[in-house]
Amino acid sequence: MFLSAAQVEGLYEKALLFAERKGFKVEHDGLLTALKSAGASADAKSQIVTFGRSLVEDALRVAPSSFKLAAIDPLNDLPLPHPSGGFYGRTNTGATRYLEPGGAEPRPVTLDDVGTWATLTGQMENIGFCGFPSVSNVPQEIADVEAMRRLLGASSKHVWVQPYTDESLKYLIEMALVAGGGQDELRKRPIMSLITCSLTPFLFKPMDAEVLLAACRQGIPIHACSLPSAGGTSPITPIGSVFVAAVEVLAMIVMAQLLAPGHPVIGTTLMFAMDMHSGRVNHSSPEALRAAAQAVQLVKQAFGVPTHTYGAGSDSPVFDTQTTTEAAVQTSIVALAGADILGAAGQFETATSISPLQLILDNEVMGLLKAVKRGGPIDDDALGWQTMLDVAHGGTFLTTDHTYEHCRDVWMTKLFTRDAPDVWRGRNHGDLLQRLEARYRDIIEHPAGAFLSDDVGAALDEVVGHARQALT
Amino acid sequence: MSPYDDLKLNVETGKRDAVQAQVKQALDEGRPAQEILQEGLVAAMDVVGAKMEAEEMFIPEVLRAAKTMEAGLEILKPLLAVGDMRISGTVLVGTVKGDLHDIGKNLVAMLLSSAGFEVKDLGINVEPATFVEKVKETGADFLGMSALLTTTMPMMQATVDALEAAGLRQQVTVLIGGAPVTQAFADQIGADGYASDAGAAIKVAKELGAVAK
Ligand code: B12
Repeated sequence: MFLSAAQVEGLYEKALLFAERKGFKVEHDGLLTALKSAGASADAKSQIVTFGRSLVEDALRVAPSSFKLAAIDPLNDLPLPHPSGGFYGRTNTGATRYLEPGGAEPRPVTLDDVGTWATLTGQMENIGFCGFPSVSNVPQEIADVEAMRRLLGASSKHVWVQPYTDESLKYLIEMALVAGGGQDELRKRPIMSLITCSLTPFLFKPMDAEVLLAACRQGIPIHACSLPSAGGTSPITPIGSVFVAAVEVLAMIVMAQLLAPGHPVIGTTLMFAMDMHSGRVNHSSPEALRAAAQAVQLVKQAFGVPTHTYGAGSDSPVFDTQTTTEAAVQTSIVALAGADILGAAGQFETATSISPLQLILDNEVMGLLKAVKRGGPIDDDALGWQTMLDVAHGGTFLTTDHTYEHCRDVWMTKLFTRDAPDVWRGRNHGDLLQRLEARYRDIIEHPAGAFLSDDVGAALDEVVGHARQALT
Repeated sequence: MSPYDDLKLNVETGKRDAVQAQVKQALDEGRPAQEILQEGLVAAMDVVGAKMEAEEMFIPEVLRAAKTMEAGLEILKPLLAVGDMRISGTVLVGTVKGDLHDIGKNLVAMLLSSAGFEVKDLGINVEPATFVEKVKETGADFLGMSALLTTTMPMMQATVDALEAAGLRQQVTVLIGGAPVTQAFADQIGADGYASDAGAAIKVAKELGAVAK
């Protein structure tokens, strides 16, 4: 939709050319050696890896186009792609500031906020899985370990983990093994997925190599992530930036398939554009949005893996109507571009602040977009063919069987109102912000119980204890 | 009308060849190198600085103007005394240990150098001990540290402490920045200044100035 078939084909050919000619720098001897023995050309001295055409095509052939992200509660499993052509939302990760409902200014994120975040996500029917924000009130060396522990204790959904250091990675995986029921069970039902990021342009740093190796060893799905900042780390022209993201994702797909053929990889292109006045990087600008849509389409159609990008969020430094507007625009464009996972729910200030109210709103907007996308077959029933033939010229459809049978097909909003003004006043439902606050309070006051057993909880605490001992 | 209006416009719009030709021509006409520098090149960059602040110029345009100015300066350099050269101070910049984010740090480095600072970039993942060693080695006026992760911000404190322990803290103006960094954090760790973006970094560096040595 955002690229023609011929354009996708042309970019695919260029990506193959790039992988073969220019290649990527991999700053990790172990990974370099593994790639070399799997058939890539890798030079130990320059650390440059290149992938020939047939190697790439073989890798794309074995990279799965469908698989499942398992949830702590199997009812929340996420088969990819979404069975009815929709998508899954996912929350922000890594934000450092938290805006309490009614609060004036965002404040540093605490460990308790992670619990709240997970509790809220549990009730968000369109948010498939949860990441954790960046907690300030714990030793920073184990901030990710502490956050993951809290998340596992409060979530019944799949968890997405963004490790902060290679030292903490080991403990994060240990926790996944504990919560997921051991190595074999975790491989069958991966309740956790990991992010691995390129250092744009065209470089892979040691930590991400470690993540890739560990994920492939344990069968943990990876979100192969590229975050180009157009004008800074990638060409300023949106399609140039799309290309950078796509080839970096391609490199990660190929590396994963060489390490573990059939390994589940999600192409994750998070597109930023640098503001040429301030130098800040943004994801809500039209250039970044177009790039996000094109990157999704390119990765999906050319490489055949599920896709993931920001499908919410705003660059506004304050939570206001700009935040809600930009988030809804992002959701619309990315959903229509066909992304399988819409990330960033609840975030503003370009991924650095989160708001529970925005999370609830994003969930609603995602529901709306899913309904828009639902479509379905075009047959006589969908057309109402017989009813049209039967109805009198100038007649009504309201009383027909067809309307009766389909009247519940529509999406019902939980937050928006379409009341007549006096009805709305009479119900005393307040404005959208007040309704968001009411929904927030309702969820927080009635949290779902813990899903993991006390034994598992204790074993997780033990892992945190080990991490604390070793790293702080 | 200044005789340098054309030259200034050419610096501003990044016309390297024209600027070099005009600088040569001014010298041929017998104008003093110091005057060409101050009333031509430096004056042009002052306009550029003001236009950047007013959001009339984009960052790549500012960087191009600075490069163009340098091309003109190259011709004047042999004719200028050391004291004539406009150097606002020397700055060491780097991203702290454990942190690989460098987009913001690079931008700060580029814009500081376009504003007349001499900048030495220590790169990413810089250990406190390396910062200390380089401050000692270079006698830099400013140390600019960048951190983009809450998990690496403590390294700024560690570096300030290490400077203190090495007896160098009083000799260098410490500036910090990066998305999670705030003025309050700068106060807390005893940094001299904080800036929220590269434009502000120039301002703060100029306001604070180098420590008198
Ligand atoms: C691009 C990016 C990356 C790129 C970096 C590429 C590069 N070459 O720098 C990549 C993908 C590699 C990356 C990696 C990671 N990132 Co990152 N990243 C970002 C992102 C999206 C933008 C940062 C950026 O470039 N901004 C643009 C520049 C121009 O702005 P800036 O850096 O703030 O700089 C300006 C000012 O702050 C100031 N300034 C900066 N430095 C200095 C210094 C001085 C002296 C002064 C005066 C001023 C100053 O002036 C600058 C210019 O105006 C941010 C989100 C965000 N909005 O900040 C996340 C973000 C910072 N990353 C985050 C995380 C978690 C990570 C990873 C751990 C993720 C992972 N698991 O891989 C790794 C960490 C790697 C490491 N060890 O450092 C989190 C941080 C959370 C936290 N705990 O603080 C953020 C907030 C995103 C998120 N929500 O998860 N990241």
